[in-house]
Amino acid sequence: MLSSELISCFFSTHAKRLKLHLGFILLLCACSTDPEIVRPSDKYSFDVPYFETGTNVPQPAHNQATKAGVELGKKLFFDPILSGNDQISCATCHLQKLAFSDSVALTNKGISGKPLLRNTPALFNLAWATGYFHDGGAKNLESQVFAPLLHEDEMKENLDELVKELSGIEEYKIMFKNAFGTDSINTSFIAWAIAQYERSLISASSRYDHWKQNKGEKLSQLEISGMLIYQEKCQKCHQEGFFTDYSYHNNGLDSTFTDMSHERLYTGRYRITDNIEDLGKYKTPSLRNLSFSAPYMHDGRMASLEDVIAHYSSGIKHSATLSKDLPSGGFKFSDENKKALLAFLKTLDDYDFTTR
Amino acid sequence: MKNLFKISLIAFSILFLISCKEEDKNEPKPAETGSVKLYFDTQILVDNVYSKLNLDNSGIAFTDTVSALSANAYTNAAGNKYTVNQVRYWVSNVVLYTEDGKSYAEPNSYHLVEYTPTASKEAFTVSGVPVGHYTKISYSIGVDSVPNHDLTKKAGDLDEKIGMSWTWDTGYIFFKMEGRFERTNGSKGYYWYHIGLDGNYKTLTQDFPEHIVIEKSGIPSVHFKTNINAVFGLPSGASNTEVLDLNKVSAMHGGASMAKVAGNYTNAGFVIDHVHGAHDH
Repeated sequence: MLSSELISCFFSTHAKRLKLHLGFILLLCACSTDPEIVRPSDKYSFDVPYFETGTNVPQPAHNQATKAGVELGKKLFFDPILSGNDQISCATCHLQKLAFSDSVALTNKGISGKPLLRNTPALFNLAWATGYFHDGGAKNLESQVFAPLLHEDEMKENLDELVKELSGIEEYKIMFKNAFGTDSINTSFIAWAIAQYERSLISASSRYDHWKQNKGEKLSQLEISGMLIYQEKCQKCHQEGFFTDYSYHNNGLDSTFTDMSHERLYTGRYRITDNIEDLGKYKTPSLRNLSFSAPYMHDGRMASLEDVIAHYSSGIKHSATLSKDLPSGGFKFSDENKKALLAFLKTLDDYDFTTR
Repeated sequence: MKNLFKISLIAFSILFLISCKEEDKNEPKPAETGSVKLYFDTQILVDNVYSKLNLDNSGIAFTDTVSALSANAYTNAAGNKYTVNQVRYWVSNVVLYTEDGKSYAEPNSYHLVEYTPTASKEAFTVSGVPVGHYTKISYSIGVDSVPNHDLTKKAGDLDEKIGMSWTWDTGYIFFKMEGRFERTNGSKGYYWYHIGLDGNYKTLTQDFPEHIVIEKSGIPSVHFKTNINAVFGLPSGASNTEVLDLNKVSAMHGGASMAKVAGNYTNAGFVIDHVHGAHDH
């Protein structure tokens, strides 16, 4: 144990440098009892939104973002090498210009060409969520990564093959080494890097944000009255700031939840918690970037924002688990109110995020 | 250059000794260690006789039907005729206890046990065990919550690639058994029992029938046998089990039935058949 530590220390450092910094280096190496992976690169500095009180984004202790990690994650995210046929990347369905969503209800861009069963979620401000997918089944971004990678209708990647492929590419070897201190690539590192990149996707730079921060932006009378309607009717779930409570609610899309197929996929959060009170509940999506992320709802059933507003106005279906904050039958918005609400929602579009 | 290396090495060694002196003082001298091999033999108890479970080789298929069950069919407590296509589970966090109350917990202790037509791994070796006399063992079926909540926190055999985890509901499948069965109306179906979730992580503690002596050389062994019939419960709820009828529960969708199955195999599924000393063979 002792001698092997010494030797690995010795050979990992150039002899001439050792001569100069002998004792110091040795002290550091020899007494290190921490088996944690060495991350030689700088910590990644997140662009924490102005409305957040914390100084950093939430991230797991074992996967603190570094510049090299985020950079590697970004490269992986856009690289079709991650799929079984080397033609599909994460970005195939998560397009930056659409706030990392796509424009279809249920995409068929996966490897099998079969339409998926859920709408592609937009990706931003993910670090603050506590569950991923519309039902929150994935407990963290690190674990979530494997779902699309392994799914036979999505990327259907053989992960052993992927590790082999990446290990044969000099650029990746260097990037993994920079990010995780070793060029011995494994599937956890792949997931960690992608998770780091995903946490870096922070959106808080819309017209509304600039107005809120007194950065010279003005909202129109119509937008302001839309905001007041939002504050009265919508903000309990779509809380100001992230414009979501990252929680799960039944927003009255269906009145029954009897289809138990696909491992109870159509029952919402219930399939995860097995709690009957979670029937038909889905994660609150953010109201940010809605102009980019159409169509709407977990299955993309609503094509336009007008449709969504019409749903909350008069389309809400009653069921036992319907959110207490939604009146059965809807809010009965006037046409004027609908117009105002729509105008306000568009102030939350972050063009800087989709083009940077 | 050679000299430089030599001098450096000596210098390093001295520095190392000086800098770590404080820690060394407190570190006990490493104990002498040995190993023990644990066998998990997939068996079934029929008419009070244990025998090796015979697998159904007709392939994994959730939807297609067969006209007749494989000849390797068994009958469970509910009277269902069934076959077993595969059995896979995690044995984790093995702890060995000595007669004087000391214990050894294997680090990174996550072992996949599998018995399928194409792959069988029904034994593993626990090494680094301090020499001594051991009287009992504890182990868990499943994966404890920390790695269970993050598929990238790997240790031992834990791996997201081997079909023993869920990605849509983060966590490992603790115990997996699949096969075919005959319905009341005579048609044949496929059942799949996939057990997971923190609440079903179960720990068993069992006494060895005689002491195991761990020595520096030679490997003693512990031979567990399973009773696959216990997965569906034993007649009249024997051994604190609950009977499941495959006509009603042919697939696991969440809590209630999962908990029953986990209770069944924990309470009646695993027994120590015998142990061998290192030099018995």
